Amino acid sequence: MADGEHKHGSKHLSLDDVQSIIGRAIMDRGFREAFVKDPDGTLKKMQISTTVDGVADEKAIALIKAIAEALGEGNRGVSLEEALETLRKSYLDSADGVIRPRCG
Amino acid sequence: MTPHEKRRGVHIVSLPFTSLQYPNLGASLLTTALRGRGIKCALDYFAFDFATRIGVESYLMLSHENFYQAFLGEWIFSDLVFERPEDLDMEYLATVLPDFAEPLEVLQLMSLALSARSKTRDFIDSCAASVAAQEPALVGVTTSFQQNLASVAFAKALKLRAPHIPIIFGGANCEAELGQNLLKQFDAIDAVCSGEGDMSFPTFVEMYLQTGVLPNVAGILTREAGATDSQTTPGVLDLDALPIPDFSDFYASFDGTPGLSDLLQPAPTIETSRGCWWGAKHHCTFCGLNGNSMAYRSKSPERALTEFRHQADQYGADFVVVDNILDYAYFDSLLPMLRDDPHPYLMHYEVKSNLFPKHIDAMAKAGIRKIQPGIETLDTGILKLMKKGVTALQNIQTLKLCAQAGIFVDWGFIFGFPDEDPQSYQRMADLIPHLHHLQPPAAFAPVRADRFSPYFSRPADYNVDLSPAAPYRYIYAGVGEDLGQFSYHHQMSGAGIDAAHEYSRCTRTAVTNWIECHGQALYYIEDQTAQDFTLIDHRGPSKRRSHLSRLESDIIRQCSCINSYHRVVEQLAPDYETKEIEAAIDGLLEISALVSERRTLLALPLAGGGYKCAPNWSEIRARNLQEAGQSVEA
Ligand code: SF4
Repeated sequence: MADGEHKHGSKHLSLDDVQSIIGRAIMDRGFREAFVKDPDGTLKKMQISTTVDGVADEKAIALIKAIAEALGEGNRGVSLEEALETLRKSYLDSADGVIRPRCG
Repeated sequence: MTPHEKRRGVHIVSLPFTSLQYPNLGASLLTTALRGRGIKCALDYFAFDFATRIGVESYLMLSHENFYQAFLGEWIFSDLVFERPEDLDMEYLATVLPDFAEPLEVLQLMSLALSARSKTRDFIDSCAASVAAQEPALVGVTTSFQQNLASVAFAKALKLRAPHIPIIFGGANCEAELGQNLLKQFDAIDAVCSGEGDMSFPTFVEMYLQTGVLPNVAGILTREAGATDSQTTPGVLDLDALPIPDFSDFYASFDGTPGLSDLLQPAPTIETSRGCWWGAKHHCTFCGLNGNSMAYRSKSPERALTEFRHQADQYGADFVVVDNILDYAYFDSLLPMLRDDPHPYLMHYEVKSNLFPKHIDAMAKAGIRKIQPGIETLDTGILKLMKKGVTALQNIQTLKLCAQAGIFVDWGFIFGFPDEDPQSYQRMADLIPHLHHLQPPAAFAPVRADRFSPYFSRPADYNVDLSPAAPYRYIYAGVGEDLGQFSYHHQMSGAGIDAAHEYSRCTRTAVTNWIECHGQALYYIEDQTAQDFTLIDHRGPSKRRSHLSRLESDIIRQCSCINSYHRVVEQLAPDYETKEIEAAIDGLLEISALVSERRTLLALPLAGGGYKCAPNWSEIRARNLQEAGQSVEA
């Protein structure tokens, strides 16, 4: 059995899964809405688990909750794609390339 | 030096995350100094290669200063140095990152960071392979701010490929005990240049190339000399003696990065001084800049001008000045020289906030169109606690005079100072709506105890306890009690500030509104040549137009800069009754055309310069270019 694979066929949430969940949620409105409404159910369908040996993995659960909440924000009003695009543009406009802590 | 070693020369590398827009001044100075001594020296800006791998836009987002305190740049490379279970990374993403960004930003940053992280191992390997293939005699690694983890990962990878090549670290992350710690913790590092390396590093390299043995040079720590042997670097006393840095390596990398020039305009860096003349006398309590080299030194105006001209001829007249504070003597020397020079200079300077119109005028004419005056807050009591040496009214005056002159003020609001008065936040929240036409802060953030600051060095004096900022635990994972030896930023607790987030909430809300309405909130004198002023007031939702009497207009004139109540009355007394003047001042305070502090007054509407509110940076830039074009035509 591969590392992180559970007996019932689902595997434990990995950072790769996190990335693909975010990527899919940004692109696919149906997936996003389903995920925001029922993150656990959506993960189950994807055969991804947030338990280890039947015990809840609090850190994985917190991360999934944070993602669902952020996606929920994006669903208000404008589409998530548009909101992220606006965000991206505003950074590029304001970026002066400086990496420095402020003098205060 | 042996011809063999000399031929192989030195390789200096700069790893992510660092600026793609400005050359690294320290590394460029050292490269130039070595080349000046006849030593072959290559300078590799590997950050550009990484930006190409992950996408330039992604790189810019991940390194944006808004999220600087999340240390994403370090987190992305950290698992190459400190292996750890994935759940610790999940905890970072779920609990730390959201403290530094809005929910949607968090989502985007998570996605970009995870994607970038999956590319770090190949990237570091390729950097090491490329350097090893050139067989340099010695490799220098420059690390400042968020370059530490990529730098250590690179050193480890290079050591595996070429164990015989000595690796020396330098840069701000190697200052004092930070440098000692790097040498102690990582076997791949053979030496650390701590503090200013302008003299010590070239001497060290020259001696090594001659003998093949790492020499003992003051300011350079080696295992042989003892990692904890804190030899201090002799700071450069005569900055005129430094070479003019060669930025050709940076520009070659910039030009070789596809798509970058569509997003950024590169600009040369310049330093006209080192240290801080204010901090040398009254160290601001939170400031860790300058490490152990606070002593102030500046270039002669002639030498500084030569460097400005030389770089402008090669790379254009937009500059990034890296000084921590402008030399006051320059107001009468360098600034008029820059004003009279034909190059259309445009630059940023850090200054102290006690500026008068003549200073602002001199800066604007010299092309200093962006300043960082360290405003930090709008409460005199808190400014006193941080030893800033200015009052709230002086800070407001700086914002107003700069708005009038078309100078962008870059500043951040900080809160949570030990022993501050929680009530002051309600007062600031009440004041801020009257300042909506001025430049708002870029952010509202808690004060930190940075390493080398008084808060860090003497926490007991301020009754605070320190702990490394939250992200460090996830970046330097597994170092346990040694964490405090890696950290630069620290959070404070005690001294009444544990509830600071709560009691400062009203000011945070006021600042958020200020940022949101900036650009639409106008406040200005309609016609300054008129004897009786009309004020156009669009600071709030209700748009007002107020016609002032002659007396009220005269008071506004008298208070264009901070003036004492007593003097205003005295100056207008020949023409008006004292009671009349006092009543008019009260009326102007009532409509917030004036602000007052301890019997001093300042008028708030903008006058002159043609601006109705503080202009944004792109407006200032465009106007500067237009004016430069006109003066060239003339
Ligand atoms: S905060 Fe600025 S003025 Fe104060 S000591 Fe630091 S560099 Fe100097």
